[in-house]
Amino acid sequence: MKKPLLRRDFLRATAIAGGGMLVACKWDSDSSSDTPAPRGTAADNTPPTADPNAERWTPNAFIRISADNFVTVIVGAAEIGQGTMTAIPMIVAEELDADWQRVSWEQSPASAITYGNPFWQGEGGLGDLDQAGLQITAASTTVRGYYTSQRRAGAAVRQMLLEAASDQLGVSVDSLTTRESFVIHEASGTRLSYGSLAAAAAEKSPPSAPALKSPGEFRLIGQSKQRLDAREKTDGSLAYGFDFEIPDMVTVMVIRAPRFGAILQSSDDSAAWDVEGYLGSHRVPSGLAVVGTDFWSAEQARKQIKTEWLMGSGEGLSTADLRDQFDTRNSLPGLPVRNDGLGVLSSLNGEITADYHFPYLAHAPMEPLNVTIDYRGSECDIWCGSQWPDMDALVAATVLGLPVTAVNFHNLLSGGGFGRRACLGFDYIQEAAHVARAVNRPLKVVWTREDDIRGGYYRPYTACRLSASLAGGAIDSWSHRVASQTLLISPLVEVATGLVTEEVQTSQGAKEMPYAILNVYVDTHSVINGVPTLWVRSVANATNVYAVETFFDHLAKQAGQHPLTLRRELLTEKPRHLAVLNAVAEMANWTPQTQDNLYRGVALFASYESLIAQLVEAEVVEQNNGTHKVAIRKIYSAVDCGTAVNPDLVEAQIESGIVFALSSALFGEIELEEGVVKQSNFHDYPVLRMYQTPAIETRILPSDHSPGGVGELGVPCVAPALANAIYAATGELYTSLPLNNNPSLVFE
Amino acid sequence: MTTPAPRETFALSVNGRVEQTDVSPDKPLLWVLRDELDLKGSKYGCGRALCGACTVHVDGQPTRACVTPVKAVAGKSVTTIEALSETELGARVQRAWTSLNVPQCGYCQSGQIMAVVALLKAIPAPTDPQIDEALSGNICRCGMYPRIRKAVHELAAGGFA
Repeated sequence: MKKPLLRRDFLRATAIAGGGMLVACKWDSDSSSDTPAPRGTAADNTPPTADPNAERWTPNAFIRISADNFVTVIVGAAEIGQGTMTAIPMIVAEELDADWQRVSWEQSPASAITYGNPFWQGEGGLGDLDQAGLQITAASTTVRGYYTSQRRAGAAVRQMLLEAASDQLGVSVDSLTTRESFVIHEASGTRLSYGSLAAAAAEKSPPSAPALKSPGEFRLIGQSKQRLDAREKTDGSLAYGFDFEIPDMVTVMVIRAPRFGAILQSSDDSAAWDVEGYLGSHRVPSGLAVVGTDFWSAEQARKQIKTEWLMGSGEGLSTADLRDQFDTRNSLPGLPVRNDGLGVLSSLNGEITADYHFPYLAHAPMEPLNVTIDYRGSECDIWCGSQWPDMDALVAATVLGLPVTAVNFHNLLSGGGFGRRACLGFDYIQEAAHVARAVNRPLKVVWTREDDIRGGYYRPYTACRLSASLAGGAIDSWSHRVASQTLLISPLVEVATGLVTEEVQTSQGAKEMPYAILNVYVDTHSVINGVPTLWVRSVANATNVYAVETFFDHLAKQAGQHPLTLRRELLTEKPRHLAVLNAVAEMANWTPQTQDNLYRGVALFASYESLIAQLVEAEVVEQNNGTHKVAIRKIYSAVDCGTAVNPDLVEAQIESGIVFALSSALFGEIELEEGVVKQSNFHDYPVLRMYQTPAIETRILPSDHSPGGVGELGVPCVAPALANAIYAATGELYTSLPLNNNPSLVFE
Repeated sequence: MTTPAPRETFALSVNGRVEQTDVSPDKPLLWVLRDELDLKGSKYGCGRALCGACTVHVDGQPTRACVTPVKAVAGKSVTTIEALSETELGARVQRAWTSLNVPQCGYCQSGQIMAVVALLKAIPAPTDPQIDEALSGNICRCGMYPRIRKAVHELAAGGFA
């Protein structure tokens, strides 16, 4: 069989019934008759079209223009709250010159070949599929990854519409312009809607290199548009996975191992039969699947079932023991990932050293995990909010013994993700497939909050050892050693990512330490233990940047320098870093001379092709008993994310990152005692609430750079900026998170 | 651990309609709304009245449906997010939410909005401490608290009419 051409730029246009057009990839595949529900537009969520024929769904489409002049953008990335379903349509509509009031969105099917994020091209380790990229929504890559390809698609279709109008009017393309979904011939005053031209435009060959607008010509990009999914997220009408139902569906809860890795030995469900709606239980690899007619019956039945487990080797680990274990690892050399100047030598004899410790963290998205699955022997439909739908579909197919083409994966909007819905262990999707095989009827596997908090796949426990020497008031050497649990627990992932040596998920944020220091050394240890771990929003940046930025303030103090002054001195060669630093200081009106009753701390970092500096203002008052009472008053952020496609949604992401980061900085911690997870719900795994949220001010610096990522950008600097503000008051270096564990600090 | 009491028939007033349900009196209102009456706008987030995603109004009072047994609302009037746009205040709150891009993932927002409507009914122009008091029981993991606060203040000032 001839291999398909996997070049995204080869578009193909098709006329569709009812007079519209559809722009798809060159490599067409079989279409199905699955028609998704029409979604919202800016014009108050009017259904995009009344013509059912114009709604025909083709699995590899990117853009559909219907005869009644609605544009639908089919989005490959997942919506987990970050605004994908608004930003991607804006990018397409910009180059298409579409009327934003008549633009809508649809979630694409699961297919890396067609809808994979171009950011990951060449990262897949899967031969030809490399050219497609992975269909994963992670690492703040959605806008920056799809930006160019989506602009090209919009521009190509616009060119085809112009050519169709040129034919129809018998005038040259040069005499035509476009505006808000119309082709306009100014000389004659003629206006032709895109919808009326779409069928003819579909006969044109898509240009391979259509001209793109210059930033000065943008009408949508750079505008703070309202979210296209806002309405259905305020009237209760959006069906998340938890709400999704299929006919004759039963509900399943799983009794999972009380300690990670334990194996179910026996179970007794005799008492469960007294619960109305209990339908039986089935052994699956992850435990015992308890089937009920609905959530409540399954939950009540599960409480009545007794289970015995084989604990395997040992009694399981206690997080209290990890501190010493990880410190021991950090007294040995690791895998070097950066060595500037005489870094490797100086690392051995830094005169100032600090050991940092960071706990396990759970993602705790508001919508607990769930998978709806209809397995019919030879094929299967799955409905699930996923950040990695193509791999989830593949894993489900593998468990079910089906070709991946027999698994129809319907990705749903998620009630939060933060990484949990791009699970490297594919735990929830594998489990659901096993349950479907065992139960053999349409079902939904639901997780309670307790299942979620105790279910593992935590941000890894991490320890950092930082060491530095000063010479003549300057930082002469800097070393940073990281010991963190490896994320690469699944062989599938090693295949998928091709990562074999340096674990970026461990080194990121340490390796990129931005300050101009002559001798720098960074090395890492990958620790393996039985606790399943996963990336959590901003991954190792959250821990490494905390260590870098708080240690920096500590060194500045030893060197007799103001933290702002020393940062500026060591960033003179990095104008974009310097610009965010200066901007945030200006926003907070903070200079080295500032004298008032507030304490301030700053931190900065760059990743995802973006930069951020964040500044925390706090009141810190010493109490009679020697403790310090801390009231966080305000958090400022200065952001350089290149082109901000939708500035208000960028700000929303930064606000979101700050609240997420404060939750973990103040009290986020998962502990294990002899293998058993101690926390279970929001009472003992608290997250930030309204009364604990300080004032927030964000400034986006103007930039013509291409877009950078912002979904994780607001997270890593918050905790170090806060710790630095407290350090300014107390002179104490806070080397462990969460800060609430520190008996000398009391947070208001 | 005891099993739930057997079924009884309840006449529930939900969103202005009387609904006959035949359920265990112990069954939480949340699951009666979602699974018996197919009103899925009220969300499950914690099951222990810790997050507020299930907030509905019972006789106008914000109530955590996940821990409220259905027998406790017999004879009372229940309002859910689905009926909110029928009131002027509810519609204004929803307009504020879309205009200010308050939702991100959106999963908590039914509960947030029900809590805000109850607050504004009780205190038409709440202070920041009153907002903290009324809304700190509702978790937004996406962290949209500053926008919710801003929306409440703008609504109190007569916005989004």
